Amino acid sequence: MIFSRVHWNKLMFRGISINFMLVLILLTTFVITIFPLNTAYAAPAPPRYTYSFYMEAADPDVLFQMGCNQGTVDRATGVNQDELVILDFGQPALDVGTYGTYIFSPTNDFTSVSEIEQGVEAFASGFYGCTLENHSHVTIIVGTNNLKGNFGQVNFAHGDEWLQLSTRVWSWLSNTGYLAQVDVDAGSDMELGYATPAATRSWVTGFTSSAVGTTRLFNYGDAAGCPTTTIGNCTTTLFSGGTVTWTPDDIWFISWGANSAWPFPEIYAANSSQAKQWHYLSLNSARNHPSRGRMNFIAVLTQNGACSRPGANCSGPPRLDNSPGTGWSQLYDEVNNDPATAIVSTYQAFKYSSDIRYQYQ
Amino acid sequence: MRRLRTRGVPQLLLITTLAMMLVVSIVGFASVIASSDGTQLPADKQAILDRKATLQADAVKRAPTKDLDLTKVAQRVPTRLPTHPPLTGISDIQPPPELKQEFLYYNRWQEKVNGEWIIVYAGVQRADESTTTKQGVVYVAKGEGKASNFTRQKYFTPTKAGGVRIIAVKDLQVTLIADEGITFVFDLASQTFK
Repeated sequence: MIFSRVHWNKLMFRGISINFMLVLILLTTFVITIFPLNTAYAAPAPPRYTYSFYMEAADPDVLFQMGCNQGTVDRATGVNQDELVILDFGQPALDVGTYGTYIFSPTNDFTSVSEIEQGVEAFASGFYGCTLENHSHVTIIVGTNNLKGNFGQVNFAHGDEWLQLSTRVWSWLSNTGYLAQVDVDAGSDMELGYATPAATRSWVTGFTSSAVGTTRLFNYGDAAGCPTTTIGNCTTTLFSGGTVTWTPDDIWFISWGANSAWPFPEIYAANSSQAKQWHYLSLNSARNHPSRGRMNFIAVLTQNGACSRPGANCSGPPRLDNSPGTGWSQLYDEVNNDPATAIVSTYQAFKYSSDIRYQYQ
Repeated sequence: MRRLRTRGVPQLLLITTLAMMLVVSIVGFASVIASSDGTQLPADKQAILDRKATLQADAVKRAPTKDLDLTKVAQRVPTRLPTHPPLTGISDIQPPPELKQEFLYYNRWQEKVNGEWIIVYAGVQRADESTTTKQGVVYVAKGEGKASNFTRQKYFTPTKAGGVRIIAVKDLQVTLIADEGITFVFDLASQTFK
């Protein structure tokens, strides 16, 4: 009826303003629809960042002091903080029937899971005690990596052992009541050049095999060799020689597909290449694993602190020494500028930022 | 009639344009609505978070009282567990992460000599990784205790023959084999290739 010639003429005659308003409304809707992200997803300021650590010793006295330092810093802010800290204990290892890691001391000393457990609990005690009247909350991520070679225990049994370690610390926190301010999860620096997808998936499967149900597994590894403009396979140099190819689904499994897996990507590169790679890995999840959907990035890792250690070389190209704020913003922009991967309103999206350095730096 | 015909063209254009804009707007809004399905976590991940939240809420009620005097914060002194001696000899356990960008690591050798550790890392220069003539490289670290007590020097193989791997060490003479099969010997006493 509105488009009959008579009515049209009447409308045109009675008031151009009706047509004008109609066009204006549609034009506004059109513009908002076409360009929604420039307004809706304007990146906010990055969150406060914490230090994470390549651990060079698991000495409980030293870890108590580290936890105390973190608690003291939080208390000094005058508000209750909520943060993540990775304690990375290095390469998964087995020594005379005991599981543990080769830590980051110069001689890469073997450190048993019992020593690690004791050290993490000391960190928690120090944090809890030194926050005093402040009620800040820290999540400690007990980290390892997937460096295999001839000595690395990147396998099902070590993954299971890592879960048991994290669970024992959780139980201790629960029994002491420190759980009120300290949470514990597990993590692994899963680098695509450190081991084959099969070995790494086996470790993750070991971790996720027991239905314990209170421990997340954060993958704070890289996406070396992954495309930056599309979804595709990732080929990189393998630690033990030759090259290795990971499919996007391999990375999806260790970062988001497995039931307790969460991505905590390394965003070190100044040219945004790593942020672009993780955007496409999330897009793969959204498109090809609808039951899982897009990846939920709650945290971003940088290594600006480690790059400042004497002898370190992060000069690239590309430079790999993003500041925490830059790394966080790069991933935020790449992920949220695509409606298919945007996670502005999901659980704790982009809530945390951490910068890794050495324990004795 | 003529008036209508001349007006008909712009009217048709206007209607077509408005219709196209309407379609684009509807499709666009639909995709924005569809994108909001990311607000839901997978059920198993949500279950872990829910369990954590329940137990943490319970822990808050049971949290131990703190002594609000920092000097009295008691350090928990656990029974010290026995430490393990470092691996010695040739192995490929993890290299220092700070070398990762400039150096593709193959393997290492480490021993304590006259009261200080000597560690030799062998591999290939990253910058040459994709070229046909790769530069072999070794790093020699010496010291004791923390990393800050160690010194580290870098040495290139005399010729470019690919990355190098340590195959034997005797009397502080490190024998390395390159990717191209050439053997090099590095003398740790003089810190030179022979």
